[in-house]
Amino acid sequence: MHQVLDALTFFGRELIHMLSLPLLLASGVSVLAGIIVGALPGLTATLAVSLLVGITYSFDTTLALVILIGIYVGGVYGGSQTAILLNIPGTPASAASAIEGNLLARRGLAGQAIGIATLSSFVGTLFGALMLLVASPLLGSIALRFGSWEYFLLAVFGVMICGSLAAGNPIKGWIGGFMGLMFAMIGMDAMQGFARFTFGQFQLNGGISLIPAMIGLFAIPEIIDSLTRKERPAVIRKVISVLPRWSSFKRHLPTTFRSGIIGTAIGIVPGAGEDIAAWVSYANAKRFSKAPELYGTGCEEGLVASEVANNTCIGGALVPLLTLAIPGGSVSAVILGALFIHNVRPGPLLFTEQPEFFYQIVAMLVIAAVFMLFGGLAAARILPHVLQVPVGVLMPVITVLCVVGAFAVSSRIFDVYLMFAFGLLGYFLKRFGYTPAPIVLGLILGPMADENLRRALYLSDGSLMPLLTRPISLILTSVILVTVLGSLAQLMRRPRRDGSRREVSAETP
Amino acid sequence: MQANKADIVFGFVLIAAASVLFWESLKIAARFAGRFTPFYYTPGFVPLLISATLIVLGVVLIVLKRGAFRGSWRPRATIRELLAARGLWATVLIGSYVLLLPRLHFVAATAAFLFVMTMVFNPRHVLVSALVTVIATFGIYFVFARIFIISLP
Repeated sequence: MHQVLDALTFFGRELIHMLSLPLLLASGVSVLAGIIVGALPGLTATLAVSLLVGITYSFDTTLALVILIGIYVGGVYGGSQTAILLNIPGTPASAASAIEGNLLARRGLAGQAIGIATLSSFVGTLFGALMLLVASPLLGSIALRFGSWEYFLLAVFGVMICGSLAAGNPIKGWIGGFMGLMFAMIGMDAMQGFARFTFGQFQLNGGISLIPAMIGLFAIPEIIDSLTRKERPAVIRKVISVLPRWSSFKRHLPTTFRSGIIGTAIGIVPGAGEDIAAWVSYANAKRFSKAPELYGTGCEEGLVASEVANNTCIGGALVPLLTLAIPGGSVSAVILGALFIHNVRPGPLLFTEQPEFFYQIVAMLVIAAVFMLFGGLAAARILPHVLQVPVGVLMPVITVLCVVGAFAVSSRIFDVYLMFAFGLLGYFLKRFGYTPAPIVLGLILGPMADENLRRALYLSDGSLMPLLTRPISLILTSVILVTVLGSLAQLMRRPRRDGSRREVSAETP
Repeated sequence: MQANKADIVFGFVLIAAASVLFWESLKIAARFAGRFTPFYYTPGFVPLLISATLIVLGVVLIVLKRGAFRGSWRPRATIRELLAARGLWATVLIGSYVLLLPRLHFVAATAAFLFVMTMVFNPRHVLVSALVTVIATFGIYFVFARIFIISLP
């Protein structure tokens, strides 16, 4: 109880500290920009955040993070607007919202659907922030006992969860993760100062710059893909009365609470993102609903479930990010990179070295949620017009912003070449069914794995026994094994399921 | 089936690349290992483990998709899919822009890139493309170079 009161006091102090005009302005503008980015099909919160990491590189840390968190919150929510108005989710996170939201819109209730989605997203973000406030210090206090072996295992765990970051095939996720680890080995070795795998390129002595690699991997494939798609969908332009009704909100309180818990739990699990949270929550709401037959006909409850869960996931994903430096999803992987770039070292020591920073993040989430509420309701009337901007105009401008972001880090044209090279790699990998998040995760965790494994082995005279004799190491080793075996079991089950599906389809005339 | 065959090709490319890295790592490790530096403390040790894992994963990928060895493979279809005409155009234009940047001023290179891109991907009217080019180029230049004082290529 004492700890909770302390946490609330710290949070209150940081919230007041954050209420300055420049920070509020930055938060408001970035949330609105996030909503627009999230609403535009093909542009995701991950793309926007990775692009802005480069642009905000020279900014003050607090200001940069206010912008990134604002874009994140706005981006996750923004997708629901296109899901409702176009039946095309702006982001994968709002795919579940398209089912009920668009059916409500087609019945002439577009405004009401947007109102419900906005209020649900607002409540979801606040719920996530509360969970972050409560769960993180607990997890952080355990992580304080970490040594070299534990840090190494944590890095291995981070790469192993890549198996679940790749949709469908864990092997592809692991290949991505290990490719990222290999990229992280390029450059000067931190222990003995030897330049590895630079192949005579002195620009690589400092290693692969994270921002150009991130922008390249996430943004360039999206840009090329969006330009490849020709068709543009029709937009529902008539949006009236977006203000949600209190009675409607009160009716869905149990669903809101259940979805909040689901969103947090899924957000905490590394690798499972907002899209999974929304689908699980939607399915769960249908199972517990008093009128499940209304699902699929434009049901408010289904929309509430998916929107609360995907936004609660933001707070959930920040829990392992801040306490263990393990991101919960692709956006938090990019935010992890941004924290490193701004010299903030997330992990167990964050709560002792920079406790105020943690509460600032929670305050940023709360402020972004408030802006999202008002911005979302206001954007409902503007967005149908923004959605008319042709992709052929928007994407070239975004390409220029990518170049600016990659160059801004250290004013080297080499970084722009690097961004393009990673962009090509990301594009081809995407075609082969690989996602960029594992590579970024490997790139971030590489130095941690390298230094800590070598140090740990040196201290134990090359013995691997500490993996079994140190309690936290043993737990982490077990968790890694369970993760790997779980992913392999899923992989083994898949061909059998595919096979049975083939049999069924063969029998069907 | 074509996707599975592409996976097999990717698996072989991965094994080849990882084998080169494995060899390089081994050379680094051998160079540093000695009486006072155990093998596991050398800069080549962790890259050696990573490249070995990549080789194993490449083999696993090929084994999992081994069914795709049967039947014919149409590499042209895979390559055509990878380099869809519009995608290829976009890639070539972005690549040209990146290569042009150090040779031209940012404003000139950006203006040329935006004009050509909007003409190729939004072919409505030359005037619309020109307007978008001028507004976006000078807007980006003004915001980043003048307001945020960020150096541009």
